[in-house]
Parts: sequence; C-alpha cells; structure tokens
Amino acid sequence: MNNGKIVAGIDAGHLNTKAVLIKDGRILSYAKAPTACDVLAATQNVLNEALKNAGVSPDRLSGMYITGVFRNMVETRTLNVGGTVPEYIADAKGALFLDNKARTVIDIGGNVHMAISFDESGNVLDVIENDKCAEGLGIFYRNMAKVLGVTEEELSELALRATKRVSVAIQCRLSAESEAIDLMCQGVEIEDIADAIARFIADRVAAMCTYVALRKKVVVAGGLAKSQAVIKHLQNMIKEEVSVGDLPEYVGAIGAAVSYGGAK
Amino acid sequence: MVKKESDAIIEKFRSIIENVTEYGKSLHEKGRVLAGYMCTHIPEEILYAAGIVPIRILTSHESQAMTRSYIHETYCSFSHDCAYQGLRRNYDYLDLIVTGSSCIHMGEAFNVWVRFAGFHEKSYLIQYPHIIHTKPATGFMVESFGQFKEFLQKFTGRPISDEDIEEAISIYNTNRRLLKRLWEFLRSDKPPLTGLEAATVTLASQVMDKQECNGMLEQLIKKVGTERARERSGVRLLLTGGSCDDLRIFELIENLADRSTIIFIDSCTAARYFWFEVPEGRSNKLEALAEGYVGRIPCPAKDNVPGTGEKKRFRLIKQFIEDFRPHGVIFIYQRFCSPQPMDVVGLKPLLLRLGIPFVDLELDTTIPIAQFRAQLDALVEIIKKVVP
Repeated sequence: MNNGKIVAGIDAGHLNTKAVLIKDGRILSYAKAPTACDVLAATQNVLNEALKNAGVSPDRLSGMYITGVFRNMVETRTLNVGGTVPEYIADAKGALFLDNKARTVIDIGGNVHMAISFDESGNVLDVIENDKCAEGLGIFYRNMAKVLGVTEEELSELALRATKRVSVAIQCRLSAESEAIDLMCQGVEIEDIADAIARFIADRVAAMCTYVALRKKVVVAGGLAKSQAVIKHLQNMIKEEVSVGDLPEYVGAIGAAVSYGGAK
Repeated sequence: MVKKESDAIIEKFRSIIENVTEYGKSLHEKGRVLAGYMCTHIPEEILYAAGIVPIRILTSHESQAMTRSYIHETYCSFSHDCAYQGLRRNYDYLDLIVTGSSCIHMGEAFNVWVRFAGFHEKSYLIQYPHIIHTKPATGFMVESFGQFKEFLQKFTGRPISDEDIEEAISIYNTNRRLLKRLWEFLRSDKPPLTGLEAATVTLASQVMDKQECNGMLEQLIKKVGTERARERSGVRLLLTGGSCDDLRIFELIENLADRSTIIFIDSCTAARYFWFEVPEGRSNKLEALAEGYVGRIPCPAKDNVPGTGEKKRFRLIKQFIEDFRPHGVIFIYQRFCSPQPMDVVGLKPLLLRLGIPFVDLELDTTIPIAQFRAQLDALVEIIKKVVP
C-alpha cells in the first residue's frame, strides 16, 4: 500500500506521453510531451516536469505505474517502473476517480479509440476497441488541422461555426483525408470542411459504440475529448449525453496511479 | 420566358426521385399497397399484378458509419446506404420488402431490414439462379416466380390471375419501350435532351407507379421531339458499370471544360433496368417473365456462360458502342464491388482494339468532385486529340 505517499501514473500513448502525480487521492500535478520515437525520453521528461510542477523531489515517489500502448517498452528499459496497467483498466479507474457517477468511458486517442463500461468499483464489464479502418482518429485530426493551416483548437471552433453540411468518405481515415482535401479544391468553406472532419470522427466512434451497452453516466477521455465539435456530434449520434471532465487526456495516467493505490 | 412543357415534366420527374418518401407516402395515403425492392432481379410484374406498387430502394448519399456494425466494412457503399435507409426508418410506410438473390452485398442490406428494421414479418427473398445462361435457369426461375406469386396471394388475400399478370406485363413493356425511345434521342449528334435528363427520368421510373410514369413519359417524348432546340452533343460519353443513383455524377460529366454529353448508361439503375421486354400473349405467364428477365443486359454478377467464360454483356456493350457512337467510355462502379471491376478488366482490351479512350470512376457515398473532374477533363482532352 502507498498510503500518504506520492504515486506517479504515466500514460505512454501514440501521440503524447502524460504523467500525473497523486497523493492521498488528490492530483498534485500533471504534464505531457510528444511521445515521438523515444518513449523513454518522453516518460522521463513528463515525469520530471510533473515533479517540478508539484515541487516534489524524485526520492519522494513511492512508485511509478505505466499504462498506454507503449507501457511495456517503458517497463523493460531503465526507468524504475512499479507495474503496468492495461489501458482499458486504467481508463475505467481514471474515469471513476474523476467522476464517481461515471460507468462508461469512451477514450478517443491518437491511434486507438475504445469504450469501456464498468461498475461502481471500477471493475471492467465490457470493452470494445475500434476496427482497423477506423484507426488513428487523433492522428487524422492533427493532420487535418495542419492541412487546413489551423491549430487543433481552432479546427473545433471552426467546425462549430459551419453552415453547410458536407461529408468526407467514411470508410477509412485515409479516404477521409483525401476527400477533405478534395473539398478544399472545390472551394468549400473551411468551417464546413472542419465540421465534416469532426463528424467523421464522431461517426466512427459512434459506430464502435453500437457494440457495447453504454451504461450511464458516459464520459469521454483522450485528446479528442477536447474538441467540442466532436463531442457535439457524438452526443447526437449515440443519443446519449456525454460528459468531459477537466483533464480528459490524463484519464489513463490517473487510472494507472489509482490502480496501484494512488487514490488512497 | 415561358417554361417549356418538357422542362416542367423533367422537373416533376426530378422532384419525385429527390423526394421518394413524399411520393411513396402520397401513394400510400391513396390506399395503394407498396413494396420496396432492393435489386432489379425481381419480376415487378407479379407485384403489380397483385395490386402492389414496387418502389426501388435507392440511396441517400449521406455519409454515415452506423451500418458498419451491421454489414461488412468492405461491402459497397450502395449496400451500406440501402441498409442505412432501413435503420433510419426512412421507408417505414412500405408494406413489404423484396429482393432477389443477386449479389451478397445487397443481400446483406436486405437482411439488415429484415432483422433490425422491422420487416421480419413482411419480407420476401426471391431465389434467382447464379448463372442465367443455362437451360435449367429458366425452369428454376419459373418455379421461383411461382412461389413468389403464391406468397403474394397469401400476403394480399386475393388471387393473381393470368389476366392480371398479362396486363402488368403490358404496362411494364410500355414503360420499357418509352424509356428506350427517350434514350434513343441520344443516338443523334444533336439530341434534344441531355444524358442527365434521361438518367433522371429513368431513375424516377424505378420508384413510380408505372401507369402514372407511362403517362408522363408519353407527354415528355412528344414534347421533347417537337419543342426543343437540338444542340450538338460535343464529346459523346458512354457510361458502363454498376448502380449509380447519384445525379451529381452525371451533372459533373456534362459540365466539364468542354461540351460533353452522356449518350448511354449501361447500369442496373439505367439501361439494364429497362432495355428488354417480356414476351406478351404467352399461355405460361411465369415462363414469359423468366424468358424476359434472362434476356436482359446481364448484371456482371450473373453473366457467366458455362464452359467458355464468355460474357454476354460484352457483346451487348459492343453493340451499344456501334449504335450510339461514343467518343469515350467511363467505367463507373461501386468501390468494393467485385464483379463490376472484373468486367472492366475484360472490357478494356475491347475498347483498346476499338480505339476508344476510357477512364475509371470508383463510386462511394461521397464524391471527390475535384479529382473526378480532373480525370474527366483529361479524358476529354485525349478524346479531342483522337477525334479532332
């Protein structure tokens, strides 16, 4: 048990690596950095930054626990990792920690999206992950912001101002990307293209959600949870109110820490 | 300027095809029994003889991912979109849904309606032979059509007489002849209508009560032939391939940098729907229907001559090329459809031998307009050099 001690949770994701420090069920600090091709360096960086943000020296850490797609790569290297947590468990625990009424978490990340339902103790009841053609929604969103010459935040704001409904190919993100560019060539307004991009993402996530019983309350985690446009369309499509907390990107990292006693 | 009557009739056809729900509901309100059909491999005449109006299920062109949970991702967008129509309950006013065992993709779209869209108790799958160019195929179809007739008699609670079927055959043949006459205007170098207009009317005919449709068609043909100016067709393009009910494609093809006209469309949403007739006055009505449907321009999914691998459709396309004299050919087919693009592989050498340039357009729910336009402009450019 880690009572009264500081626990670090790390989420080594496709696009970003995130760290949180938790003590006595309270989040002390958090940090994130691009994972790029060196997950070890990214982990070290976010951990150092989180420690600095909290004003805590490394020797006060009682343990570091990892989740995310690269978790095993971090564990097998030189960092002192206390344990690893599968993403779906980390997401369930993290979502419940942040909102004790949550019973389903939809995580829309850089390369993978999934929906997890769980009970009041955070025990996982059902998990569904995206199909192959729908992979990489976060990467798609980032690329499209770049192509449109805006930031990811601006992309969402633009989408919310759309006036005309246009669509991009639904079968995979590569087709969607090429058709979004085709819309640009046709002179379609940037707001309407941004909306088509947000709708494509929501549509793919909503399709995945039909495979799982969404228990209330539904919360959304992951980087794309910050896109209000995506959330707006997702709510319409799954016909369910969804909630986005203050730290949607850190749900997995929090869950990793919580799984090893960080909430105590 | 006073609007020409032919323009008004075409506008009415367009309004029907763009508002199928409204049209279907208006028929329903008049007490008509309506059956949706998902594939043209069904003898509509038997439905009509039973007092039922067949309405083809066409697509909404609405991008959606909902159906990915119901049918396979790599099924064509036409089947996904048709399945979507059921799940969205867009056709809840229909009394019955029917299809023929044609392609797997549309079969699964049909199953979605039956399993998940409330049509479990009001659906019928007509068995259709896999290879139609064999002697036993006609016998198989006669038996299958007979079973369908029996089903409809039970469904409506009234018998279907030979006279009923003969009358339906006559009405449907009239419709086919009228549609054929409309398209034959496009054989001319100076046609009085565009391919887009002919395609619009043809699509509308597939969702309409045939007697109403015939009345409008007769008027249209009369007016088109007399009141319209004849303009040069420019680059003449023949389209061949799979189902395409997206009028934006035809609009795009006829609005390129240089003047171009669609002069023929070989697809199940165009010529394959009507370019045949059912023999009239036969004593065995079901046999007449089977013979008529076997004689259609075949769907690539059914078009295999046993033992030779020959495609009957290729011979017919060659004939259409001779009759309609296109400068270029556009292959249109649904992404993920197998039989259509495989026919394209076989047809390309034929076109190369004839010296006719061609281009492929792979269809999806959404259309990459800028990309397609570049391909089509390039085709026209090539044609202009070949045919100055």
